[in-house]
Amino acid sequence: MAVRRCAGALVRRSAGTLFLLLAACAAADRGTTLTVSNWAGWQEQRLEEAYIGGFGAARPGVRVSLESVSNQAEYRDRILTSIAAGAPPDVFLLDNIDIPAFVESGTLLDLAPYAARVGVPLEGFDPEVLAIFRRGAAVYALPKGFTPMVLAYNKEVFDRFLIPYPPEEWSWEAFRAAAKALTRDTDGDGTRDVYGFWLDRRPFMWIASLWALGGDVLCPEGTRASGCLDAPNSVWAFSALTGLATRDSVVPRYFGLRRSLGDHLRNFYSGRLAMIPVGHFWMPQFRPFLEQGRVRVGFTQLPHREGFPPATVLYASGFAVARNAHHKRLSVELAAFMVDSLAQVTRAAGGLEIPALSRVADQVVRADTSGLEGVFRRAVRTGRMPWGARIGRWREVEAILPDIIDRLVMNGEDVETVLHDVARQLDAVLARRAGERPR
Amino acid sequence: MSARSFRTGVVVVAAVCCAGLIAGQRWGDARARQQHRGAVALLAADSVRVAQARGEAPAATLARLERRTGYRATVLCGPDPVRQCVGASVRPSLLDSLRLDEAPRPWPDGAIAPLTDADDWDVVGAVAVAATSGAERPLAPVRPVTGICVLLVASLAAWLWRWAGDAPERRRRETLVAWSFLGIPFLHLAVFSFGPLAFTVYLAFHEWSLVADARPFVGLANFRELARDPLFWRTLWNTALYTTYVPITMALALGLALLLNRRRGGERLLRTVVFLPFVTSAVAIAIVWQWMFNPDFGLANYLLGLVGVPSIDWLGSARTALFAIILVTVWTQVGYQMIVFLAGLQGIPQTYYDAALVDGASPWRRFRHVTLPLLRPVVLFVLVTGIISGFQVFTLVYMMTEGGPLHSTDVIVYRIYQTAWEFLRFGSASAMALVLFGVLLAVTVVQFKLLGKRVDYT
Repeated sequence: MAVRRCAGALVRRSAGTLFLLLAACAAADRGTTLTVSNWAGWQEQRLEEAYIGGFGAARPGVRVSLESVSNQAEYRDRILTSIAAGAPPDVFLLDNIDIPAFVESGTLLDLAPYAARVGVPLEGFDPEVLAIFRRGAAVYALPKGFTPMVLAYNKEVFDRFLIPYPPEEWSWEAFRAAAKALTRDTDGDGTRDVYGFWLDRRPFMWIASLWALGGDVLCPEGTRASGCLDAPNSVWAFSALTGLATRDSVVPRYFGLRRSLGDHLRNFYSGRLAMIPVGHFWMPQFRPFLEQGRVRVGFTQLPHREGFPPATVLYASGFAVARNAHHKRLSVELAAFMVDSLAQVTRAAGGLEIPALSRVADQVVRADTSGLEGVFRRAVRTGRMPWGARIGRWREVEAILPDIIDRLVMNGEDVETVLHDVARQLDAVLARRAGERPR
Repeated sequence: MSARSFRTGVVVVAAVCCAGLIAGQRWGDARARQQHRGAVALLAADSVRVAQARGEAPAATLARLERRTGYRATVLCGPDPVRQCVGASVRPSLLDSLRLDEAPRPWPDGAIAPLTDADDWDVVGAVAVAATSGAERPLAPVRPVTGICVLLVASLAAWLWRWAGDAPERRRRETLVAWSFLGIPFLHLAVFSFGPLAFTVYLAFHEWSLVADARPFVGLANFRELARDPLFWRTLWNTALYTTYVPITMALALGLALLLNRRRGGERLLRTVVFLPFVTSAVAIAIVWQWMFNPDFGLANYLLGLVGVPSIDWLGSARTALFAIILVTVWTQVGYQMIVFLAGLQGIPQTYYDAALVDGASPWRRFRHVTLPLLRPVVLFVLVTGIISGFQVFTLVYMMTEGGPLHSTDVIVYRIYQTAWEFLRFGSASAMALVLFGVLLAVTVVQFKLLGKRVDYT
């Protein structure tokens, strides 16, 4: 009897469990979940969440899940692995530096044929920014936002030493004179405690200044460095840049590491550093200080060499769809949704970047009473596409370039010798094409 | 179990394994080809229609298709390309929607892009696959890798067949029982250890960017490139220098173990304190030490300043950066090695020390002639594992210096990571991993030869 009762209970429980499992499977099967991957921090992620629900609301049964990996290196590893495994996120944020490698490997879906159908007017984007993601007629990501590199100056330091604020366009010599005048030993202990400028070994921080000084690291076609990196203009530009540390001593302790500890920002806030190169991506960090009146900051263009036009670099990111995405139509629609004016206006509140849609970017400039946004916007006119968006081997090139600054500043080697040596190394890297047998 | 039934079992299992291997490869190839065939069929059909509109001869069209897509158009399409290229996977209605009056648009690789106005999103995506990847994937009956695996299985089966005839029945039964227990762990090892290892060996002779379909065979080119790369030799040298932390840590750990090998109050607490860094996250350790080494406000320079030593840019100078990382490693590892030495010390019988005391041996002689020889297996263990983990250093370098300044902290595993994940050159990175494996194997063999002699006083 007891055995029969037990058996009955077992059958009932099994049936119940089976029912629950089937119900769960049926529920899981209902609807589609689209995944968006990005490297947003928590503040940026909150802004994304603020508007993304609208996509699902207009499409019953569709849900959007935002996945963020704030460490960009880990983010990239994850995207590459998921694409290789055949399970890419439906939409993912693509940095300009990854475009050539992804396009060359045929990883990305060309979004141009669909742009009109999903209501994305490509002509609405800043043309310089769209060009970063364009190859011929194909567009491999819809631009999210961008930033040029400009120069930030601490107004309090300038005021303290009665030095006039820099104009919006200024020459290298004027900049150098200002940097020298701003470098002081204020307490008379024999050690300088205020410096004019910050020199960083990371190429993304100095490449724009190099261009503005008439130099470059690669030749225009991007296939060699010899003849361009070691050309007289580049020698002059590197000599001028590193001379700030070796000759003029207007920069604090040279930072020999690749990873920043944020020293330059801390020194800048505390008035120990008068000028630093910045991108819009640091605006969220500046804002609290500006709003609380703890620091007064101005922005201006990077100084340029007499006889050469002003120049800066444009860094951008955009939303891409993998060619092996599982829901292509929905993915493209979602990418379009994430770059439309509503999304860009929402995102602009975070101030991390300049919206890629020209109309929205202009609105942001008009709404800004401090005039700081205008400097960034005007700098776009002199902006150039970063090398990373043009050549597939840029990461290898970028890993070698800090050696130039290290050798010139730390070892005090001869500029021409160093540039000639590094140019040969870069030539070897650039000669090695993807898929080609290394010789 | 009779020899006959054992042999039958072996044959059945081997046949199933071989069939599974071949079927798996064929399924993968067929799936890829189906996708490519659909895409190339569309390209072909569109191209032929455009060609017909221009009045091009069919033979010229096929030659152009082969040239542009890299696909064997003749095999795919036959004598009547339009009719036969339209495979089952492509809807005829889609082809009807093609616009013949539209001029072909150039693609990055020179192929043409049809279907700009087509409505089927997946197929347009598939055309992109064909256009960008070349879409060339002929079906092979058995690929070389599959062939090697099948040969290995067949050889193993043949050996077992022969062995079954020689071994007595009890031995066969025991072997079968043993393998029934070992089977699952062996499978686990095969999938998660031997498999990746074999794939690394395979990649070392190929070029692969992870996201590209193509993995061209390059022979020994990756190794030749390493041999000529001065930075690779520099990283090997740096790694070897870094492993000097092992003897330093061992000496410190042994000293600490001797000091704390007593049962008095406070020893346990001290052991815990010394051991704590080992169980702390390496990332947290790296961040904390990065601050401690800060030349402006770090604790290290503050303490040195108290005794009049000028400020040192620990991680920013090529002369001190590797030393700073070694210092952190010694601090992290000394607790672990101390615990292992303590276990070794407590395993030495007291009778040996008593006998030495009776003989009038001094503390040094007791240490020299009793403790050290009997600790030799522990010393060997700590040395071998220390050198292996020393050669695999990554987290501290990645977090604290990223190989800089001036490559003074560029170590081999960091270089492998950078080559694979930043430069997307998995072939070259795998070649480096194999070289590292070889170096570690050689060093370990030498250590066993030198220190592996057994000491026995009984």
